[in-house]
Amino acid sequence: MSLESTAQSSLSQEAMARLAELRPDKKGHIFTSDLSVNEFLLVKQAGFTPLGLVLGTSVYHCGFQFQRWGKNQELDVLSQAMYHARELAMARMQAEADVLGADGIVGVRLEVEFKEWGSDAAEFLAVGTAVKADDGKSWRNDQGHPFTSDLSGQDFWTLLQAGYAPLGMVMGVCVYHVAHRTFGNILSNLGQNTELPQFTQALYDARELAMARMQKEAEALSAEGIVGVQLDQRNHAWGAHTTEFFAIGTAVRPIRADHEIARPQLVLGLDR
Amino acid sequence: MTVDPAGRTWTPEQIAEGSAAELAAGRLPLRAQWRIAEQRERRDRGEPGSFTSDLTVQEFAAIRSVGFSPVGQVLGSAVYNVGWSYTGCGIYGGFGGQWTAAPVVPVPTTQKLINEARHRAVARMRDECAGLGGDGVVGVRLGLRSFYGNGLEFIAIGTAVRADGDKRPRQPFTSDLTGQDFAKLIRSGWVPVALVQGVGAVIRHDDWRMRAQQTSWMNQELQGTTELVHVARGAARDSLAADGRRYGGHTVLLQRMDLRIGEQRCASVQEGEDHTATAFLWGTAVVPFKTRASLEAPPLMMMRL
Repeated sequence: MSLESTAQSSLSQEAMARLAELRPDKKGHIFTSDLSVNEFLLVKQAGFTPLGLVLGTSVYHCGFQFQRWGKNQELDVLSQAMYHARELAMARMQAEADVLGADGIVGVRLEVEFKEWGSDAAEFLAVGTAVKADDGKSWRNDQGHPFTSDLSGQDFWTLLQAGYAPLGMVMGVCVYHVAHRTFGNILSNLGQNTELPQFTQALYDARELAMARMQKEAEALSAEGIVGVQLDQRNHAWGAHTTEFFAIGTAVRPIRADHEIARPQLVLGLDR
Repeated sequence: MTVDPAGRTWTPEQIAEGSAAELAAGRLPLRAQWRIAEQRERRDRGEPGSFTSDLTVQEFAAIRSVGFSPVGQVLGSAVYNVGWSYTGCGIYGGFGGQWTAAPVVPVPTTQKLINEARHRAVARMRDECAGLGGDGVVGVRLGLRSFYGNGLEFIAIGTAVRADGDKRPRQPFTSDLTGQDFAKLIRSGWVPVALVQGVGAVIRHDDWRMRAQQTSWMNQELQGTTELVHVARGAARDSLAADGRRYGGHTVLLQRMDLRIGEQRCASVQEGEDHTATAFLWGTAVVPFKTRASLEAPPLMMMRL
């Protein structure tokens, strides 16, 4: 038996020996994490211990807003609803992390699902894994809250390696009603390749509003910048002309002034 | 006519009857017993074709690299009738009942039933694994399908593996991790213990406030439903932790979360409606087997082309 295969079978033997001596039903602490194996191992490697799964929920009824058929406009009642409900869910998730004494929450997912029952009711869910630093230093942000981040465990590790700390998730919402085209407008462009300035303006404005609001939140956390921004647009249950533009990312700040970013190595992957 | 490994012939009716009797006695159905026995025999004789697996090549290589080999594909299934009708929503018609906020009522019978169904499906898969002489099952896919009315089918399919050494666990482990994830865990000093599940089943009567909130022109939180969902998830998390402890796990790596919300006619108030919520959490409990479990080599920063 070669040296390597001895090492392999001793590894599997050790693992099986541990299972053999397991005493089920023992009282003790058990924690749950929403992390994949890769993320779990990397978060540990980065010097953090997962404390447990944290989540917050809000089921929200979105109010009614009158919209003009032919007018581009933000539907601020709906913007507010989408923002407030997410905030409620996130705040509840953070409260759970607070109870666990966490320094932060990684791998946060925000989900929205409009339900078939109940008119205009949607469930907002925020889930993540609370973590605590092994070095005993506080990683909480300026506002004294545990940091939140929608970065995966892999991205979290890479960010720390590069000398940055996540501060919090920042988001911006804008629900926009895009005007219907008038009959005359449709006729005048019939069969032509042309820009539809009214539509361009509507989509452009809505995204700008969402992004500007997200930026404001990052400024409030005195962040240096935002990484991993996702700019989504979803129609939810509102039909084709009413769209939610949603910008979300993680605000970051350098840990020290003299941080140095490691030089990445070039690798040709054989796996897909 | 079917001939079993012992040489006895069976008609399809006899097999169906015999299998039902075996299941009732807490054993595997006949066809499963025969498949397992035949495969076990073949493996013991060292014949070719001695294992089946639904592993990818990469998973196979990963599992071999930490000293485990596949012994066969294993399966467990259980169909249960899971209903809500036995339990009321805790509201009784008449004076006062409809004007106070409705409570969220847990439905322990439904919760227990779902847990039991899942455990039975996984236990059958584990029996198949033990029958093949396996030490555990990797890459388990758990299925949950609705089946005629209130029927729910639980299926667990995975690949049984056996350690190269001669140490054997007291009971085969089960895990929904892929072969690669399994290998990474073992290399870093962690071993999977068991699939764990958390279930929370709750019901709540739609009270007047809920109806008012639902038809309002204003933005507002549906407090009743939020509470319903919150309690369902809370119960699921408690049951997950209890399940993990039962197996002596240390950490649970969550694989999937699911929430099903249903509406049904209220059994106690006329024209009334109830909402039900069932929350599911699925994952694998793991324990460290080295005193200082960590990655064996630091991760390498690399740029993908």
